[in-house]
Amino acid sequence: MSHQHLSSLREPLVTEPRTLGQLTEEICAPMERPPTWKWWVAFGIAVAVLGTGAGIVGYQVATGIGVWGLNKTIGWAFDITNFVFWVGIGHAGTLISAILFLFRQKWRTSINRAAEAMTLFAVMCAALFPVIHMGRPWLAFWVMPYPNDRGSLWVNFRSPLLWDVFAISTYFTVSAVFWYVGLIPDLATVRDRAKAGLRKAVFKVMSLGWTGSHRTWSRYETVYLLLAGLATPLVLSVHTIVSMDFATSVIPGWHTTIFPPYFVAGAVFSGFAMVLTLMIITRVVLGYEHLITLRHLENMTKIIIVTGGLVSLAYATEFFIAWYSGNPYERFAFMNRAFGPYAWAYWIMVTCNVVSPHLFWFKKIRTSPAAIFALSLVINVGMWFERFVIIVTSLHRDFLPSSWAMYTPTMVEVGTFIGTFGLFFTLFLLFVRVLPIISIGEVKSVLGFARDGHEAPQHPPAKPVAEEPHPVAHRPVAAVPLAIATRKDAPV
Amino acid sequence: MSDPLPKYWQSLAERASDPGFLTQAQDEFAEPLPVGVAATPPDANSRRDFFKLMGLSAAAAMVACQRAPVQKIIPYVARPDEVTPGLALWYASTCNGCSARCGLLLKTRDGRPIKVEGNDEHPVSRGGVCAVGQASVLSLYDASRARFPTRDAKRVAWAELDADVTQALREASDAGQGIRVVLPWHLGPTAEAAVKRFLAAYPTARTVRDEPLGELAAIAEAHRVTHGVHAVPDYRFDKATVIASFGADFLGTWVSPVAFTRQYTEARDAAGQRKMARHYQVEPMMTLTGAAADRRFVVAPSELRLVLADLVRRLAVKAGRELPGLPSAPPLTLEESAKEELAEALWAQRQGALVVAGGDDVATQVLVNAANALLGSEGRTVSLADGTALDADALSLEALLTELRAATVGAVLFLGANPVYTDPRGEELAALLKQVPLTLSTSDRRDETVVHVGLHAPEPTALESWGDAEVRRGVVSLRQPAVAPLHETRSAVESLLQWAGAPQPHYDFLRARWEAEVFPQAGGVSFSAFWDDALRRGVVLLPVPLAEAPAFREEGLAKAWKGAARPPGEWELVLYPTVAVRDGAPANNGWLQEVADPITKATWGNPACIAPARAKALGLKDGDVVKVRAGDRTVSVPVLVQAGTHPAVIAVPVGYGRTHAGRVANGIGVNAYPLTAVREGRARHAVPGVTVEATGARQPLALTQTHHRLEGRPHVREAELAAFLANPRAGNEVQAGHGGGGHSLSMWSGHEYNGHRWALAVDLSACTGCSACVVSCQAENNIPSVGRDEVLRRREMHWMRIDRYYQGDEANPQVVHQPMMCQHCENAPCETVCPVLATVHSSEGLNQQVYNRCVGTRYCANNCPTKVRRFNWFDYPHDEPLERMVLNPDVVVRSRGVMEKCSLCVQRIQETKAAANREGRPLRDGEIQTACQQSCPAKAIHFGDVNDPDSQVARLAKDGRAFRLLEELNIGSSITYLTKIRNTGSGSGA
Repeated sequence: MSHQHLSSLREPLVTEPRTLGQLTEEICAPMERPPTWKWWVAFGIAVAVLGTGAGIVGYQVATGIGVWGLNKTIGWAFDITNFVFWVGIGHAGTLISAILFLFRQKWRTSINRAAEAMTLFAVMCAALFPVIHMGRPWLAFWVMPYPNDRGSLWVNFRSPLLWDVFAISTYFTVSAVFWYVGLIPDLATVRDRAKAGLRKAVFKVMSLGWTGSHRTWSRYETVYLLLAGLATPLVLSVHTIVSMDFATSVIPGWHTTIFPPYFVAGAVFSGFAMVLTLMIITRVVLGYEHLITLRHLENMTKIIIVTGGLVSLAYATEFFIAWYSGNPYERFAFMNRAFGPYAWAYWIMVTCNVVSPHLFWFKKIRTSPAAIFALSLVINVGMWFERFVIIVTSLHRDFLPSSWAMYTPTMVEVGTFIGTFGLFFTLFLLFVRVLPIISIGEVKSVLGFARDGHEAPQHPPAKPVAEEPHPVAHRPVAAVPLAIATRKDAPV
Repeated sequence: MSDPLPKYWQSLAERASDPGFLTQAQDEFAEPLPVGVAATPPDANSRRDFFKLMGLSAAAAMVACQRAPVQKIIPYVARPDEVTPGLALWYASTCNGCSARCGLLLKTRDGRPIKVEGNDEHPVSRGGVCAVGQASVLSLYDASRARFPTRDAKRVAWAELDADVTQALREASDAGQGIRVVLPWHLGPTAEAAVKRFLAAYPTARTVRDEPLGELAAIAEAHRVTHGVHAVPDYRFDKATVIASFGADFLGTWVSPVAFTRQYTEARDAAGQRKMARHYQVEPMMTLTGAAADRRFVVAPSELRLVLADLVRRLAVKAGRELPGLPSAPPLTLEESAKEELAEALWAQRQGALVVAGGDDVATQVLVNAANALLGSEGRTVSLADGTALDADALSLEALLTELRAATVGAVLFLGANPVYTDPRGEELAALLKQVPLTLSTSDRRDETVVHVGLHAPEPTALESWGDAEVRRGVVSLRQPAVAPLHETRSAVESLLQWAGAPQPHYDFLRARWEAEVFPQAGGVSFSAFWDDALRRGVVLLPVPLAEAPAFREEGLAKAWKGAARPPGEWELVLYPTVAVRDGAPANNGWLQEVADPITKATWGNPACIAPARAKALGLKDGDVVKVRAGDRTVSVPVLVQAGTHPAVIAVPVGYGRTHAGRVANGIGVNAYPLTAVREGRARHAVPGVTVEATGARQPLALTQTHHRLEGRPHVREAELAAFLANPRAGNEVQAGHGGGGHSLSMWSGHEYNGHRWALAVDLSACTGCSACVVSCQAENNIPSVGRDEVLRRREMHWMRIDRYYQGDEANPQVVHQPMMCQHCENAPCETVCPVLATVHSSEGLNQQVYNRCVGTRYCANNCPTKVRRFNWFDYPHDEPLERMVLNPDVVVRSRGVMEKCSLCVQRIQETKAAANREGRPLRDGEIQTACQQSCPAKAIHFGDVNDPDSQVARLAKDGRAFRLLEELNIGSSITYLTKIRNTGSGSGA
């Protein structure tokens, strides 16, 4: 058992004294007990919403996109707004797990697993929209460059939508691999705790023969580091590419070079808000307040202040450039955004994204989970409206005034959007039940015991050894801290 | 190795030169063929032959057990001489859509008419066709048409119907009861001859002429008063140097709009003639014609003839004549300067001036005649000698009603008239018809009048029947059918001849009359050669001897001027025909319902236009329903705030609110005809003293354009005539922030066009916005009509549209129309963004949409700066088999989920290129005509190859007036627009 020796001045990341074993127990507990009625209610609602959404999508595919409120002038609205919204949500997970990992931010350990899961689920929700928004979704595979018997027919590599296909699929693949690799030690722990049976068999396969040897750990950590390095540029690239759907067009309000950094900042902003929303619920429901501490929440609110500031700066820059460029269409597009028929949407966006994050300057608000929760929802709403404003207000009044039109969503569009929340929460609730939502191996590395001036907590009455059936697992196998690899490479 | 070529052998037998092998090798096939080859021994049956024979006998045995199919299938064994599958046949004909009778070419494919085009050889319409004419091909396949004759709504045989009719007519005639034939003003010389024959057969028979809007009637009546001739003169806008129109929408609906549009364009060809006729329009509401005018004055309808009287008075003063009949000048809202300007402008041109007036007011028309007489323009810009005489003996509808009330009528026959719908006295007429022994209609559908008559003898449409017309003295045209009647219908001419006791096919009657009357005038040796040529050309020009027209008689003036001006009242109602639906007769036509009104941009309905100031004062917005009350009649109609409307006016289109037109038109809009006033026995469509009250209800308007200002953007450019003459680039200067300075950079090397490069040029100065091109495009390219709900959702599918913008004072704005279609950009924004390469650039400069590759991301439409791309939101139904026959087989019918847009009629390009290729010659400039170009009455659209420096398009592209849309985006539009030239006289002191 090697632990980092940390100054007692540092605030502990796990605020309750816990032994390694207790931690394993605690994190595995939700998986190993039958679900509570609360879970069933939540799951029931989520599945019902998902089912309704699926029905609505089925209706839309069978009838035609005409059941949406789009028209000759506004070809995208709810569909692509939702797509960008969900991709944005999907940003925080990889940022937390990859970038914060590279920056040695230890506090990430208790939230990265859930955040990554959220990323995957959000990208799944997002990926739905580019498919169903097509007029002929059954031909969606045509956007893949695959060898075919249609002569020299190929895809258009100049189209940002094609870049999107690659960006999203790459992001999803790497995120999934990264997540899964991070899960392996914990899967082994679950395997080791499981009695013989289906659970054991499944986790045996999934944990890929993890033994917990030092060599395994060493290789594991190298792979994890490499994947973190690989995932990091993707965090930036995916929303950069998504922004190019707009930035490379000619439509005033879309055709803006600031879009890539602006979209990435916005995505991190909304992603952290969504992580907060989920974590605040999870920590209360599962009693993880000592693992996902106020400090975690506070750190994330600070990131929100920063990214919110970036987003505000982007809004201001857009307006400045619209004026400074002297481009009459650009000027009109932005004046129309702020004072045109969709001004209400614009001002909702400004209120939610520019004004509300500044409440986090107040320590009281920053440390009140209820306030944070409320503000995280506000920011999610604001970020949805940001995409709506960008897409709809730019399209609805472009170059020729004769074509100017208005857009109103239909119930089908709203239902589809709500349906994606059903998908998201169904997956998240299943995730909470079947996988350890906190990285057991990593969080053990930040356990506060062995600090100076702290007594190591007493082991609880030891469980009978017979309950740990794996022959080599007489100690918690996954308890080797992640810091080994870094410590070995460290110049000290 | 003496032989340099090694000798290969296939078998040992060959190597040994076995004679048996050698004979066999002569045969191509290894096995002898037993069937049909005499040289083969009959006993050489092989195993394969055995199976063949076995199969044959088994099949024969089974066939013998089955009954032959009894459905009537007709093998195409003897192909008609002319018909080549896949090639179109064209028949010259004459339009029957309104009284203008334009020359047509009917395009048929495999025996079915699919498109109407203008006949270039017709000297009056000159290749133009309006929206109604274009849409007549869809009306041919209208599923709501009557398919057989009926008695009391039950099917009868024609013979039975004829027996009934003949007997009833004889009884009525014997009893001395009147026989009344209700029909429009002129059906054509031959049909009129048939009517005459019918009248001759029954001494008590008389005609009743029914014209829903009464415009021709007023003109003819005025000429009876002032010239002693019941006729409509021939108007020559092309000879005019100044035009003053008092509410006449001569470019839209008045008398002969297609011909007038072309004449008008010629009179105003500033680029070609270096001068243009100035056009004054005095009108109570914005019309298509008013939108084109240089100077437009808005007056109340009740003031219209007072302004005209004032003008006549001023002209008389200038002419130094006294016109005793004129009333003294009442105070008018129109300023003194405007009245004097108008009089001055007309007087300055005198004989080149042309004064016309619309509406159904005879006194107004009398004043018009006086004005033209004073100016000396009679015989020049307006010619009574070349005009059309109208039936002078006809009864009015009021007279018929009086007779019906007195029960002295034994039979009423409606020939293509629907007065129960179009006349305010329709209800009474319907009630009175019940007591008439014989009532009959020949309408092509079970319309509002047919439901009140006993017998229905349906007529075929104009595309299925013969006919003729004389639109100007000496210009006689033939109408020939392009298809045999689809249903059990019979032309009214044939019916009349049958009932007159002289049964004769319409064709024979027509041909005989032409042989007797037209041929001698034309001269020539052989009638059959003349006839064939006339049919081929569709029109015959007869030598016109000099004719003396009767002179203007002043005494008529006082006679017509009866009754003082009415007090205008708070509201004055104007009932007017729209460019598409006209008086309502062609209403059951999806193309006409869906084409946006050129001014209001309304589809599928008839909102009432009110002035912006008035709407503001009353707090009314677009779509607020108001109740219009005229006398004891009320109609609830949504309002549309229309710039350029007189504040006292509420203008409601007629022709909507049909109840028995068919499944397309029934229930669309409201019927405004009941609000028509009846004064002195005439239906009057300007109704003073109506009341308008808000109901609080709302009814959204299906508009295709909802923003009417250009927001200072240079998409449309215009210049004043004087400035244009000084500088051909006037109005076309590069504007700050709008590029076009040639400093655009591109990452791409650009396309190479080694052969053709197709382009359009659109003359905004010529375009009047009449929207004939929109319907022509729809017909050519199988564009679906999507209906009111979808237009409300802004999803009309038109590949081309006409953008209409206002500038200046909303009380009387200047209007500009801009036809907008795919710009076929050099650097097309749509092409780069499609992920699947479904929209690509052709080697001839076309931006092409590949329907079967499109997955429908709509990214191209979003990125299209002109928003011309149209998406198939649903599978638009083509389930009515009859209506499906109108589809153009050269153009794909698009399925749902794919994008579509203007292709520059690529099917026509390919067809003409192939023809030129077959003939081994280069394409001629102007040989390919796009559908929009062909039907344009103003000839505002030009198509051609800009790579050919001599082509008209290439010349126009380099013209000083040329500009392209959105040059600052460097999209490289292939569509050249030419600046609009106005002759308002402002700034030039003219």
